[in-house]
Parts: sequence; structure tokens; C-alpha cells
Amino acid sequence: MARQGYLGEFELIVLLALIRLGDDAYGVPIAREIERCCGREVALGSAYAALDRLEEKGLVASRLGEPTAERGGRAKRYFTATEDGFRAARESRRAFVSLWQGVPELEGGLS
Amino acid sequence: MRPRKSPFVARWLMERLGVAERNPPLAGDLEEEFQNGRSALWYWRQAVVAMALVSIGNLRSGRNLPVLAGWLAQIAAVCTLWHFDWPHPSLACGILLGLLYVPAGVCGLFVRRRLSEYASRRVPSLPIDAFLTASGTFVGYLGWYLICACFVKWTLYELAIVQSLWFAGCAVTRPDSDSRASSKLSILR
Repeated sequence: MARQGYLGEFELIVLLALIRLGDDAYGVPIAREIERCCGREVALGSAYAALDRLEEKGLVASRLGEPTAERGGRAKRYFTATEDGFRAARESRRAFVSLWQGVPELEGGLS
Repeated sequence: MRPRKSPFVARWLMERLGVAERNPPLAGDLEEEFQNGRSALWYWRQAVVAMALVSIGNLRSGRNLPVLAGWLAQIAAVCTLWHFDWPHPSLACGILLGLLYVPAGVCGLFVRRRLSEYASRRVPSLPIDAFLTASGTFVGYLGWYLICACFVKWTLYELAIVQSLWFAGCAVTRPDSDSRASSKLSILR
């Protein structure tokens, strides 16, 4: 049984970016997706650290691809969200939405 | 089109600190992004974050036990010198000793690497690693001091300059064959 733990903000962001990208997502596209959606530069090292934590929690699975010359002979590490990962993302959304509702100070301002 | 060369020093530091060995895909991602037009400054920023994260991870997992042992051995060596031979304890001497800690640590790691290479073809366990580092640092520090200060009659400042040059030479030696082999294995895994 995978160890479930608290999903931090950055972990949730990384997990959502990974889910948005679908299969065959690796470090570079994940960091770019976060930059595109959140408007902040992401250190690849931080993204990998978060992905490692997510994998330890059983929310993400990874596999190594083939090494390429463009990458200095180093392989890509592809990540995929697991069923537990999808469930954790849904639960986080549910928790956020229920916390958001009924707070007048947080109404509007989405545009 | 010829590939661009990523910053050599940043790459060298990442290899030295184990980023490339522990996380080859991260090193590959950095290289790929650099080849796709990212600046050298971007590469450096990413490398610094990666090195910091690996160092923190090492501290948490106890992988830095040998380094800690090396530092303790340096303190022991300095205390020994202070007790027996240290001529004029002063703030300047203290600061100089503090500065010598870094190259002495590099010496300890270098000695440990050489010793472990001869002792076993496998990477030794952490306690053995720590012991080799500590003993290598202690003996190296005292030995170097005694040779230079007692026989050659160098002053402390001359000793510091020569010692720094020597340790810098140790630091730029390439990793041993075992490290390179394990690095290649982790790349291929």
C-alpha cells in the first residue's frame, strides 16, 4: 500500500502539471507547463525533488527512456500520475473548493 | 550545427557534488534546455539549486557523515597543534585556520577516495568511509604541517599558500574508475 501523506502546494502544482501533460512527461515539459500556467520560473531540481516525493507517496510512477546525444548521453525520466495521484488531486480540489465557498473576501477577482 | 558548450565550472561542480551521478535525468534536462537556447546564467541558477538540494538530501540521509568526520578530524588536528606546537594563538591565526578547513576537507576526501580505491573495489559503507576520511584528514593535516613547518621552516602564511595550492591540485583530480563506472551504470539504468 502506498504511503499517503500531506500534499504540499508545490507538489500539487507539479502533480497537476503532470496530469495536464499526460503520458511521456519529463522534467523539461513539466517545468515549462508550470511556468506557462503559474507564471513563475521553476528550478528543475525543485521539480525533480517534488516528483521524487510524489513517487515515494505512490502518486506518481516513473520510468527511464533512452539516452540521447542532445542530452549529453543521459536518459529522460518519464513520469505518469497513478490512480492514487488522480484521487489525491481530486480530493485536494474538493477541499479547496469547500474552503473557498462562503468566504465573501475571496469572491470574484478571477479575471 | 555544433552543440553549444554548457558552463564548464557548473558542470564540473555538479559532477563533483554528485548531482550528475545521483540524478542523471536532471543533468540531461539542463543540457537539453541549454542546447535549446537557455542562457549560461539560467544554467548556473539551475545548477546551484540542484547542488543545494542534493546537499540537503545528503545531510538528511546521513551521506555526509564522512564529511562531518573529516571536519571533526580537522578540529582534532588543530587542537593537537595548538596544544603542542602552536606558537602564537591569535585571532589572525584562528581565522587562517578556519580558512584552511576547506582545503583540508578536500584533502580528507581525496585521501579517503584513494584509500577506499585500494581497500576495496566496492564503495565502502558509511562508517568505514567516515573513518577513512577522518584518519586521512588528521594524518594529512598533521603530516603536512610537520613537514613544512618543522623541516622546511616555512612560516604559517607560506605554509597556507602552498597548502592551498596542493589541496586545489587534489580537488581537480578526476573521480576514480569506480565512480565513473557507477555513474555510467546509473545513466544506462
